[in-house]
Amino acid sequence: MKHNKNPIMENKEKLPWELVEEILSRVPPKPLVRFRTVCKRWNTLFDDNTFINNHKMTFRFIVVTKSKVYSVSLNPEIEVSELTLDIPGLNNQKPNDLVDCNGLLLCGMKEGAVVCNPWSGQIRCIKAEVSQSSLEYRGLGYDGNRIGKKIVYETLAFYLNTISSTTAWRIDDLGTDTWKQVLKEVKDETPPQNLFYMHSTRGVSLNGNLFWVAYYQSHRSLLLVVSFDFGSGKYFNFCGLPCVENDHSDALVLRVFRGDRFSLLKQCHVTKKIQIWVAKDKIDNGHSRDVKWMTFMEVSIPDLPYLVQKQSYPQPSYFIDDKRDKRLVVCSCDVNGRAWIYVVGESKLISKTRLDSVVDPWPLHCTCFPSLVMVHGCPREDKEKKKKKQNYVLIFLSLCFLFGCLGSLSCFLA
Amino acid sequence: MSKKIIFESSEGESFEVDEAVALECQTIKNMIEDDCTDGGIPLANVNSATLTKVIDYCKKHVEAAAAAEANAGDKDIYGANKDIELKTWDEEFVKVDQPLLFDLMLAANFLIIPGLLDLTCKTMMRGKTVLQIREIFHIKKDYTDAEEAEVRKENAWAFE
Repeated sequence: MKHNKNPIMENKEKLPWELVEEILSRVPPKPLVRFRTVCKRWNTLFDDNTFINNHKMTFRFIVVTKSKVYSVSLNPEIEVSELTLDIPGLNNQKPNDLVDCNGLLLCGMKEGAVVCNPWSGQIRCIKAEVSQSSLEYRGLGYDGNRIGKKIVYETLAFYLNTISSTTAWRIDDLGTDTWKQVLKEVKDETPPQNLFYMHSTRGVSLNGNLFWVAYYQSHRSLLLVVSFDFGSGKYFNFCGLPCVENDHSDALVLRVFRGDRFSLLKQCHVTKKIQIWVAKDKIDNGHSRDVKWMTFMEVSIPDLPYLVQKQSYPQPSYFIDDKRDKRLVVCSCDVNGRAWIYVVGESKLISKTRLDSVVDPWPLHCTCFPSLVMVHGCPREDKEKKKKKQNYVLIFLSLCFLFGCLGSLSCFLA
Repeated sequence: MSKKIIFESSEGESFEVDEAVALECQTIKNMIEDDCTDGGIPLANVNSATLTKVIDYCKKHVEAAAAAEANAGDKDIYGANKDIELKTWDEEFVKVDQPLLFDLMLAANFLIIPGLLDLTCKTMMRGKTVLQIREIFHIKKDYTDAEEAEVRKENAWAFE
């Protein structure tokens, strides 16, 4: 018997959803954003982390040199790709720091900052005022108390006011493109209310708030977690840490684990032993919490180097994968400034890979899981400029016309 | 003489290929390993036109892999060129009409040919407008005009 109808043709209307996802996982991020308008189901899919994690172009780390931005993916082999992100000022200077939040990246530059979505390629610039020198961008977050409303991203920066010689903090609202000063300007530049020293300036974003490991100024060896709430514009003593005292040379990195709680990595600079704790419960909004920590992993691996390198951003970047087996994935620079990725299992080093395609030494690195989150309000600078140019041309032409008229009028009168 | 494998298309037509070519399909590879390929492999959901193309693709990629291996020592000189040549060949290969491209993708998915699945998926989606996508996937618009305009406005930068 001959089949006249092709069974595939008949099935076309019911293309299995798995196959639709399979196809969409090969579409680059920008066209994906356009395909949000295809139907509601697709629109929802593009906000689903599982879909993005399975996307062929997903990544886990961002590495930035003075001229290039790279993404590092682990599927599971390590792959480095150069991103075509047109970050202004990146041709000759490395950002001062990198901070990630929900797939967005904040790059602190000399005269301001750039907030971008490294996956979709959307970029937004923040310019500093002339009087504000040495701007240090500390984090990217949002007011987590505005429940039900759309998230509007904000950045927190510390600066020196050159006119009044005071230091202050500024928040930039990416939704309205405005900035405001928070906390009082103080003569002494030590951060919040002279109580704490930040262990690392890089703020960890969770529920919109920012968090740092800090020391009490009065007891330099005592550790705590300090938070900043964008809603109130204030700092808080948030919670304690599982390791109460700490040698300043040890690696100590706070991160978000499973999207809703903390993890803490510590590496002893003498024994190279790594300890990881995770918070037992998820962290809700609020200004202080009694966080219960539990040991997640302890590894002593002879091959593993000391992860802190003073020449660049000193702390290692890492994330924990506990989907199948417990895995720790670390990015850090070696003594020569070359970036490495270490994959660590429960009791052994699974792999170590030097990122040879990252040419310039001492790159900045951070973990960054892609998303299609928008950099809000993104004004189209070049369009505005074009409009302005058109306006100037119009004014010029009308002036010419006016003078021409006046000229001919005067001729006529004469 | 290398071992031959016989495919049977949905129209009942037989196609004889080298085992090496058939091994490009993960599904067939599993069948060969399980020793259940005697008497031909009926592919009830792949028509002759599609199967011809699929076999062409597998043949080309087997040849290319063999050539790359033979030239492994001179990779600097020939390796890069071979890659470009294969890519150009792939590009030409998928210059087919939309229904055939769709069938090729389904066949690649069913037979598990990762390279072909990748190639067809990418080609199918490249440069397509939202309206074309709805047509290809038989998707009914479930937004109201106002809702669609809103989503489009929110994501306006991606349409520029």
